[in-house]
Amino acid sequence: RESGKAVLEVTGMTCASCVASIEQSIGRLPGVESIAINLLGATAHVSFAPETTNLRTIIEAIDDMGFGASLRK
Amino acid sequence: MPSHAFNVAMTCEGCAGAVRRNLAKLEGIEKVDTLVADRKVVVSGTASSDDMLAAIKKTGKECSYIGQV
Repeated sequence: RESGKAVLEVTGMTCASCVASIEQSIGRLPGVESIAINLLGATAHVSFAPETTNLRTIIEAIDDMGFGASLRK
Repeated sequence: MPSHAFNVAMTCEGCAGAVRRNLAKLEGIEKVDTLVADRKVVVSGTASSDDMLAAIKKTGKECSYIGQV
């Protein structure tokens, strides 16, 4: 079983507590295996179980928190 | 236009921005003042304070309703 990996660009994060909130909330989503956020690079490295969740759900969840997320081109 | 005050654990402008963006998604929000130093948010509008609190909670920040101001 190959887990899905992606790098997302995240906007609106400017401090460690924004990072902590996102890592906690998104980390708890079903199917999300890990999320590591690089504040300076404003990116989130996500690995997830493709049969349980998908990138759209994860991006929408970050959006729902009031931050912006998009797949890094 | 009623306005409501909330305690919100914001520590920087980024957190305040997320609160503002989530509240802007609600119907009936007139004005949002985020006071990061006092960890308070004052929202004026016709939306219910419960809807406002729910929108703020979605940012993952600890928050509580203070009352109508």
